[in-house]
Amino acid sequence: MTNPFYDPYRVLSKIYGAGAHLKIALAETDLEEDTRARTVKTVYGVLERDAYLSHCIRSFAPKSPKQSVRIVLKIALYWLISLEKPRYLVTDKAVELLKRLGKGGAAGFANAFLRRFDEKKIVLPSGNAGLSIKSNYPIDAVEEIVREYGGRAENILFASSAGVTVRFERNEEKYLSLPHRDTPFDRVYCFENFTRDEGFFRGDYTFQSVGSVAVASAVEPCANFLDACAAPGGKSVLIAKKCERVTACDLHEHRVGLVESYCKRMGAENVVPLQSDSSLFRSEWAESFDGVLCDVPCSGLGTLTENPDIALRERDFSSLHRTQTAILENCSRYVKRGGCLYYATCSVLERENDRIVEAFLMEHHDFDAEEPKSPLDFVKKKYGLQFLPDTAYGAGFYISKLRKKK
Amino acid sequence: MIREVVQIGDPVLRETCKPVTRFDRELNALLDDLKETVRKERGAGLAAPQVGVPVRVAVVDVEEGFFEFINPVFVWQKGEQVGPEGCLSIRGKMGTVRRPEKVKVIFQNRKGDKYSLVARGFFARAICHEFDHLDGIVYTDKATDVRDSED
Repeated sequence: MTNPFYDPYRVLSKIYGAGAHLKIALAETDLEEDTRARTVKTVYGVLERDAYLSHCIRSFAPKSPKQSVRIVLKIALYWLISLEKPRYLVTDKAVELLKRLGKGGAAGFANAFLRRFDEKKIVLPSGNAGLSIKSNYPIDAVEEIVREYGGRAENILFASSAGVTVRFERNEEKYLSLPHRDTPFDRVYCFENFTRDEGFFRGDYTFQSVGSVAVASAVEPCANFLDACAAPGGKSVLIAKKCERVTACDLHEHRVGLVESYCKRMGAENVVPLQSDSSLFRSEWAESFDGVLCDVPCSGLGTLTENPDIALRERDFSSLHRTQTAILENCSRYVKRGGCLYYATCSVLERENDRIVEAFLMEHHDFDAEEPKSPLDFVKKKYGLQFLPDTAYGAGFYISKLRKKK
Repeated sequence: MIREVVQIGDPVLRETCKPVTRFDRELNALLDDLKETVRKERGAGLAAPQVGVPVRVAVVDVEEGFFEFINPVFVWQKGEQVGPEGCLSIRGKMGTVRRPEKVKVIFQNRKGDKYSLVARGFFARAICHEFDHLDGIVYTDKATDVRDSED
């Protein structure tokens, strides 16, 4: 039998080492099919607890081991602590894998570490620093969430994933015999587990987070719509149901390809994918759209339940701030008088949400904030709606609706 | 571990079972054992009281898959079907029972997360039969006739 830590190790080293995205690393590693479910569970398990597992290693290792050894130890600790596997087994597998990886020199250290490790001796710092380690949210996000939501902060930080969210076009009946949760949206369900089958390629359903559906549902029907940051295309396709025509832009050519194939699969014929930089003005689009959605690049900190690898990434908030502002500024010029400009993120941080909109409104007196409508639970902010992971099926999204004066 | 299936006459089959409040290792062991036992006995389902544990836990093993139900509740029941049933706790008998054709149930998984599902046909019948056990009801209480079965 192959070492059960081997496949998780290969995926995790792409993520920790090369900064690969979790879903891409999983798709691009040829995993042992029989143990795929276990591998995926282990990879998610480690990433969701990365800060805590790192803290455990720091607490019991006098000096920081090399990256590859750290990854093996994290997998071992996850099996030991969370899956409650016997210590001898976990130690044995870790040592065996290290030898196989040509890291035999670290085998003795790993052996001693795992034998000595005692979770009861782990001391977490008090306050926000401890919350950050336990919840895996970066410290600045923890501070902001605690400041803003007080008693609710822990619910938000420790919200669990809602499972696999699937939006159906048709034929949902046969899948509803699987354990699922209903959502406030028609034909959108969160499944405990869901295996993709031929229905996916027929366009019977697609995988789309509740937050993404919520953003698209806040858009009001109109004739000519622009989705300024469209890839992979989930929102464009949904919005296309209530608009005559949707122009779906993305900065990167290969991502425009994703939008094209998404539309084709889902049979959305009134979506026009296009490569375009939404922060640069196109004069031919001046005041020519009834509605424009700026679903801007953001930290993604509202999707940690789904993408635990986001916590590992460096965040350059000043660069994000520039991009977010530039796209909103530029796209506001495309909106017809009386039309709507929508600003959306998958972040829970005010600095990426209400504050960007506030600064925009200070400069643009021809726009007024309106309250978007949503059946999903939200917190009303000054200029928009904030969805939070604990009550919005794991999704921490934000949407603001700004109407251009007539 | 395979557990022994208690037979009719044992008072545990007539108890109203208690809700599960702790989603711990003990619950995991019970669920694993129910699965192993129902597979070995070739049943379509098994409820915790049938192995002598009066808690609101049942498993169902049908064409649609293997399902674990903890603290299950019906959301709605629709339609009607009439068909044969047997029970691992009433060996050598079978009977005809009227059941809803389609049911929606809400329940928890072994982690305590809440889910629901919609079952129809035989799957719905198996669910109704197993959930009755959690309230101390066996199918012979509802059957229009009970007869000896061949196997």
